[in-house]
Amino acid sequence: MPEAPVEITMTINGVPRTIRTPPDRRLLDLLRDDLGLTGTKEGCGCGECGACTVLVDGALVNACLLLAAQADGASITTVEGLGTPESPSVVQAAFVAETASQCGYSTPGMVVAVTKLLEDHPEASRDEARRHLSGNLCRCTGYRQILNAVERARSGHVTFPAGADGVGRSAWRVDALDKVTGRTRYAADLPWPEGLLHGVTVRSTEVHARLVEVRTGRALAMPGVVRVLTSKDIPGETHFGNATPDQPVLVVDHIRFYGEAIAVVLAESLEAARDGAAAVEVVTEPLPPVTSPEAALADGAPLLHPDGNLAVHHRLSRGDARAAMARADVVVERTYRTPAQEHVCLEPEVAVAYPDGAGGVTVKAPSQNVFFDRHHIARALGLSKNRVRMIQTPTGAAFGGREDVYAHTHAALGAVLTGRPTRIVWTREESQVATTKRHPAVMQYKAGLSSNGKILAMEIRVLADTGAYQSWAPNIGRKMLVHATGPYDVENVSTDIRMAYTNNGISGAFRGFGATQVLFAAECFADELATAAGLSPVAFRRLNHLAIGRTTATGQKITGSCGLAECMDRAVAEAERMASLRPPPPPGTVRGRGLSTIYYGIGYGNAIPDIGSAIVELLPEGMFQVRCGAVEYGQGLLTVFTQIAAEVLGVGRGHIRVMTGDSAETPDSGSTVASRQTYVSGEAVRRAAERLRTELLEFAAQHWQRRLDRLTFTSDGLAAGGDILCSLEAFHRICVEKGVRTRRQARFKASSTRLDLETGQGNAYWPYAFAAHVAGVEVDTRTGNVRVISIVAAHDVGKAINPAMVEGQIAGGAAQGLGFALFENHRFDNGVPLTRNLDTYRIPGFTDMPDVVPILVEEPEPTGPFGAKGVGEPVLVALPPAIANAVAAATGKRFRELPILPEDVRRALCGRPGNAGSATEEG
Amino acid sequence: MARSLAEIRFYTPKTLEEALAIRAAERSDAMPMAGGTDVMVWRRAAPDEGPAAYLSLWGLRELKQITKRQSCIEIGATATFAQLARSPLLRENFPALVEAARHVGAAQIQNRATIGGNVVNGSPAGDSLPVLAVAPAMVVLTSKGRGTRRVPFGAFYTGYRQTVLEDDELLVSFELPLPPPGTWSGFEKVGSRRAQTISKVMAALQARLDGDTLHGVALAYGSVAPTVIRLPRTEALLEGCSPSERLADDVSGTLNQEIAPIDDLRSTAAYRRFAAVGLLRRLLRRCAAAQGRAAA
Ligand SMILES: Cc1cc2nc3c(=O)[nH]c(=O)nc-3n(C[C@H](O)[C@H](O)[C@H](O)COP(=O)(O)OP(=O)(O)OC[C@H]3O[C@@H](n4cnc5c(N)ncnc54)[C@H](O)[C@@H]3O)c2cc1C
Ligand code: FES
Ligand code: FES
Repeated sequence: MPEAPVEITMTINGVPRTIRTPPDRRLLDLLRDDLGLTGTKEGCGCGECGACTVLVDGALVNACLLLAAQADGASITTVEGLGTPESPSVVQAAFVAETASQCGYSTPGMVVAVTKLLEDHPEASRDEARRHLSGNLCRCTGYRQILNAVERARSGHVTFPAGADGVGRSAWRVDALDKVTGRTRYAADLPWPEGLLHGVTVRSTEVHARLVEVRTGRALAMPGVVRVLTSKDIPGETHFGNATPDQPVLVVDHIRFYGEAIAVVLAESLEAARDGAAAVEVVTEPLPPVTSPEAALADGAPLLHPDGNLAVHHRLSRGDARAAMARADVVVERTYRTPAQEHVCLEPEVAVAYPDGAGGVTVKAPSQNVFFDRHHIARALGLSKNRVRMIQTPTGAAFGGREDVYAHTHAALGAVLTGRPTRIVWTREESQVATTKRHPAVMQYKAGLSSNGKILAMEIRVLADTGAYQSWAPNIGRKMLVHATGPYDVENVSTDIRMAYTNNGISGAFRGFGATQVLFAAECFADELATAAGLSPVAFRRLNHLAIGRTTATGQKITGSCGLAECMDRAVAEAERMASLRPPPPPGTVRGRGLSTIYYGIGYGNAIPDIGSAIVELLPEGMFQVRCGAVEYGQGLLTVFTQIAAEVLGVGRGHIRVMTGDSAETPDSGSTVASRQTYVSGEAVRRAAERLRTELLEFAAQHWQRRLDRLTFTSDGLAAGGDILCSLEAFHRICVEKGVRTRRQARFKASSTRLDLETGQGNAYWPYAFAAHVAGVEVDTRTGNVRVISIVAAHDVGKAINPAMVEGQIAGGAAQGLGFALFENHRFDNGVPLTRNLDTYRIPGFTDMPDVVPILVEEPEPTGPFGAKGVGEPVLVALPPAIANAVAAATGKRFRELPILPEDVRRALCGRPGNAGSATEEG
Repeated sequence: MARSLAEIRFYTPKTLEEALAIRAAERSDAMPMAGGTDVMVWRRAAPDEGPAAYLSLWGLRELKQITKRQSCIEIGATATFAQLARSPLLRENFPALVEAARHVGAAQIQNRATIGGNVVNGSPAGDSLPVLAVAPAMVVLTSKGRGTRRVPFGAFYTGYRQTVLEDDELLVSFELPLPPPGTWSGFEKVGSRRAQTISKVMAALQARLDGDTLHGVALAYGSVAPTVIRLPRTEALLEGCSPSERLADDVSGTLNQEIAPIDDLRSTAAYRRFAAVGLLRRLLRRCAAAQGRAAA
């Protein structure tokens, strides 16, 4: 029998309230679910991320660790109590002005913490601020712009730059005011509709097993439980997958990883659904787990899938690597390893599905591609695509982690089968065990050099762990294949990429998409080759780099927009300048700097239709609307589209409205992946806007009998020279009267060719982004601790449509790269995941990140909008090898496996740790 | 079977007396909850295994005080680490405890995490534990039926996360004997990130400086054994020596015999052994510097 709720009184955002609540309700749930104050977020539920930060009697507190009953009598301030979009607080305004919010999910908690910091320590330095704010994690920004916002807010006044909306300006983000005030509604924040069902997933607690039976009787008998979904309930296809449908929507008969979804319990309340989930009995017969790709490919290994455990095998050959290797003066061989990395989007997986009453369904959820999601959902439901509408909700980051559908299909299934809206919100632990990770990889590199240091030949063998299913494995393998040599012109190359099925979770897309792993290896290898050749890292690279006229490993000639040399020169020069200003290292520490240079293919590549599509329309209310199926998830797409449209049409941002990510209302513009959307969809927006402007002005020239070249649109209306001919509303009316269409659609297709299956030759991608990073590290020789003290990141972005947002991408990507290099590692014990929340899976916090110094190199790409390419992924890719090279420079020891942990550094530095031999250390 | 969360009872007594009465009646059915920073994490990890009731101690003002008594400082069990970090009394007499308090999590955690919870939780990685071990603190326990008893900190733990606390008792305070003049104390920790991180190893040292030699040395380590431990043989070696980094290396052999770290998710045994020496080196260097300042 449920206990009677207790009555508590609290002052919330200045308003006294008496509330009856179950005694064990968390303050977080009370605020969000009972009072509708959804500005406060849940990221981890265990005190690690700070997304739930509120003020309780003036003190910062994690609302996820506090029972409401324990706050009886307290005064509570949430982000909503600090300001509104109409009247933001100084801190909120400073976050907007400094582009300090990207996906925005960490932002409300961050705003509360910064507000308190400035109250208590108004004079805090940047480093002090880092310490004070260390209870708040952000996965997007790399913290730099947040610290800028702290400094800006301290000054007391903040104004937004007016009129700085065009291309090339750091216009403030169009979604920022809602994000900093907690107004933005992510999927878990949506109001609960009448009749809502809550879904809780029953997951495998075995690594590898045959599923014999799912007994649902006891669960169904529990109060509040309405239905239990199992694979038998799936009306359509039981399996799905990005590359190939090898993954069950719910396990059919074969459990392939710990945490795999077996059933979903739907109930009237979350508590009832949880209780029901605990009562579902899963009967299994264990199978031997396969826990490494080596074991998976060994003779006699248990098969995970009928066609064997080799999921992907790609090969590339250019020239004759074996013969060239035999001719080489120096041959070097090394092996590198990288771990599984989790995206840690601060917003865990969530979906809300609404039945349309006629057998169809609308799903609202975070997404990277509403059309893919719709495809997967419709297939499982056995519905035609037009019966499923997928609407992207503001998305708490993605990074590749939302290229696979999870809760979407389950919620949709629940809604269709019960006729009731269904909501599924995953916990951080579920997200950690059941979503894709970056493929762990072992990479064997061999190169032959001429006596002067030119690379004559490379042989590369990669073995990666794709886990239980393919997800995007073939495409990721291809990206590895194309980028494996690094940004070098090598005439003789032989590359072999294999990816094997195992029972270690699932691997999939993650910012960098396979290039992250091989470019880590290639750029560490480049430094090792430089040493072998007796050259400096810079000289070695200069000798071998790609440049206009040179050729990639796939035989593609670089014909334009190649800022590689400039990136390297500027990054190295800036890093040298900064190092010369730094005081000498403290005793017991050594310092070093490391360089990496990378190239990165933008877009899908491999002739996969890579099409951007956009509609631009003049609306009756005198606004221009841009519609595009791409999605915003923090990178700033809404703002980029606004700026491009504003630039082309000549009006201010107030006259542009952007709609994205709705499968029913926006044209399919492909996935928001591969750093492609600014380039591909941005160009489609530019073309559509250009076409609309030209054609409407041509009509206006005729109608008003004016010279075409005198006519422009302005925020005030249609203008001829200095005169306003009519308002935009009036112009729309006239167009309609005269039968002139006010809407144009345009498409843009990126060009790449299909790689030859045997040789891997072809124009793999276009364009390529280039980058050079220099990392500076300080290594404590006693603890082995590596601190990154400087990051200079030079990126050839073609053209920065919004420099502040590009800088935000750079700092944020760098933070993920730093985590990958130094501590992130999703670990398993015989297939059982060990790192299930942020207490054990560590991501970089404020104190881990130096201020990244971004350098924007603008080598215009003729086919991109205003010359723009992409930047989202290259940043993450470039940093890890720079850090590893810096550690090598500082310590004289080469670490070929990530993450580089203090334990490993220490062991390498002193032979046997823990014995008194360390007594000889000085300092 | 899962216990429905809705069935859980929640007590919010306003006085210690009330709390002790509930404790006596409910025994192990009601779990005491101070700041809840540990309890809420367990509750999340294993909702089915939680207790039938919670007994909130947060509202008990009488357990929140930090007071100077004749020969000791008394710290209430529900004093938060934020309170400890700000306390002038502690800064003056037990700076090591202030340092440890500042190392517990981030601001949000320090505002809720209590010293009593840290101690009863008994994780070998609890940051306050080594400091309480070197002070050495007296742990004050009270029950309704049997009144108050004082247990020396060194006798409080009986094994990994096992304590002498009975199921009708509450921890009400710690008594830290006022250190003699000239006493130095310090705390050091190695974690996996620069802030907001559970310790891989941590250590506290307290000693009186007589001229340039150490006396009454107390040295304790956390995360190197199933419970926090004092290192009596290493302490004996340090006794009468003058503090320096070199001294740490000289005693490292004995130190390593006295600790028994393991491999776990956070670090390795080998690294912990190594880092343990490093922490002593840092402590002795800081102690020497303090002594130099005092002499000047
Ligand atoms: C994100 C995060 C970071 C953390 N970082 C650190 C860190 O760096 N260092 C560190 O040491 N700890 C850390 N912790 C652990 C935790 O904050 C501490 O152990 C804290 O001191 C516990 O105090 P509490 O009041 O919250 O305890 P509670 O969770 O309320 O209780 C803990 C245990 O003590 C019992 N208890 C509490 N008070 C009493 C009493 N007066 N009498 C009898 N029993 C009692 C409870 O029944 C329970 O068993 C962290 C925790 C989180 C969530
Ligand atoms: S949700 Fe509370 S700290 Fe992460
Ligand atoms: S903006 Fe901080 S997590 Fe996305």
